[in-house]
Amino acid sequence: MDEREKILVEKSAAGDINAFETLIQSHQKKVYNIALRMTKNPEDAQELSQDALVRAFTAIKKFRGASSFATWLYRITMNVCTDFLRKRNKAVVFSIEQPGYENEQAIQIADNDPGPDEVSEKNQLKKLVRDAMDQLPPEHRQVLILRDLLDLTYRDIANTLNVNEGTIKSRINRARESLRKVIVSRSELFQDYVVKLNRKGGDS
Amino acid sequence: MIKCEQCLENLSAYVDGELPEEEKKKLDIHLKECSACSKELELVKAIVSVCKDLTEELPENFETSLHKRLEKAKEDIQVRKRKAFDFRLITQIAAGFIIIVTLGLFIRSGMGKATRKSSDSMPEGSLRIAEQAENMNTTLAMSSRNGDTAGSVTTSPSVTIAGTQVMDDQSEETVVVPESEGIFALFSEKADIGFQKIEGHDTQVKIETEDVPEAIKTIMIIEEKLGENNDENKNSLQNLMVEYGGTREGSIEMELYYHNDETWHMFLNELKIIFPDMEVKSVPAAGKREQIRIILSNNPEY
Repeated sequence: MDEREKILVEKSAAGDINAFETLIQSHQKKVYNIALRMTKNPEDAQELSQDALVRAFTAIKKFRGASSFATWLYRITMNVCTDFLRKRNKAVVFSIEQPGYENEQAIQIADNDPGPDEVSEKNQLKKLVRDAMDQLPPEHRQVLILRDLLDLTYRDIANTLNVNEGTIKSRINRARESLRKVIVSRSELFQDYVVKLNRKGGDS
Repeated sequence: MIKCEQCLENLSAYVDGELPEEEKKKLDIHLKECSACSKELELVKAIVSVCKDLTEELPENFETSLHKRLEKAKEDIQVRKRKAFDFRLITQIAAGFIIIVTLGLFIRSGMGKATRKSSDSMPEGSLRIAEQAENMNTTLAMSSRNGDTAGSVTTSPSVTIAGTQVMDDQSEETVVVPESEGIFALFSEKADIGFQKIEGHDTQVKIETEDVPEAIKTIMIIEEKLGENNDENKNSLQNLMVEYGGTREGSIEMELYYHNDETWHMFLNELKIIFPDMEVKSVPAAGKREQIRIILSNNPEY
């Protein structure tokens, strides 16, 4: 934790909202995106990401700097989100007619989308991958969000989720494998993209 | 040489640049020779490149509404602080009660001399509580000077505090505890206050914290919050009985009784959010009712 961050943490702990807002400036978008990919819904994502940020503010006195502030904040966010999903899934169990969140509708919507003239190919691809990601179980979504959206190292992901690095490594591999299966089985668009990307020599 | 299976297992770590150099070299060699695996690599790279692009912008009103919520949270904290227990005093009172219990037991066993000896070493404030407690009064007056008794009594019988409300608008030197029934459970033998007895295990939570009184306060705030959410609109302390099972220097054990799984779940979840490193395990039930035993400690070896 650098000196500036340390001062902001101390001020936030003393109840300084402006200091806290400065402290979370570079993290709040990530917090929102964690919640968005975990809940798959912008309204819930806004609510939960703000819940997480408010909790961080009220609990910042407990932050001892053992991990980075970002890791601590992402951990709170993940906890808030998994708690929400647990409660929501519990509610879904009792509703037989309600479609599950892990159903296949999302992917089918992707196939019915307007053609490339109206929506860019890139956007279609994003929707395809996003919808496929939404099909994964929460523990797979978690690692992909932390790795690909937040660009955390395996070590940071392990710290955020409180599991060891080896588990993270195999979990990410399994998550991508599941993602690949869903995507490839459903879309030729993606096959074309793979070919194009590799012609361009893309390495990202 | 590595096999395809090994290659596929490491493909994600390879793409993420998380493989040790030696393993990466082995994979490079395999990928040059195996078209199936290199095709797989292309797929993974493509998926990752799209995933990295999934980040979305914050909703327009995000920061404004967050600011309002932060203001509200700050206000709530201040209100709670005004209303909340003065835990420093409560801890002292708990220690005082332990002395009372000891005193009570001495008196019952007819050990007058021991009582006198014990009271000689007690701070004046504790003795005043002790005297009043013996008389089963509902109002306790206590000097706050006996702060260091908390750490000195470690093996006395446990004391139950329930339904207590310390009024903050009293002077600092006086604490009013309007509900005596739970507090004097050991004296009045009204230990059973109507919770259903459930056989099973207790949930033990260990939390290491640098600030034990602050942690107690946090736990009580969560408890208060769960009480607010209760449909019956009960004060949480009527649902959850707080028991100071014992105090020792720098650490404290609290026992929270729960009477339904929902409260128990909610409580632990809230706790986990604030203390992500807390250790939770099931231990054989210690009492008649299932409970959450919370051990707060600032000593890693506790």
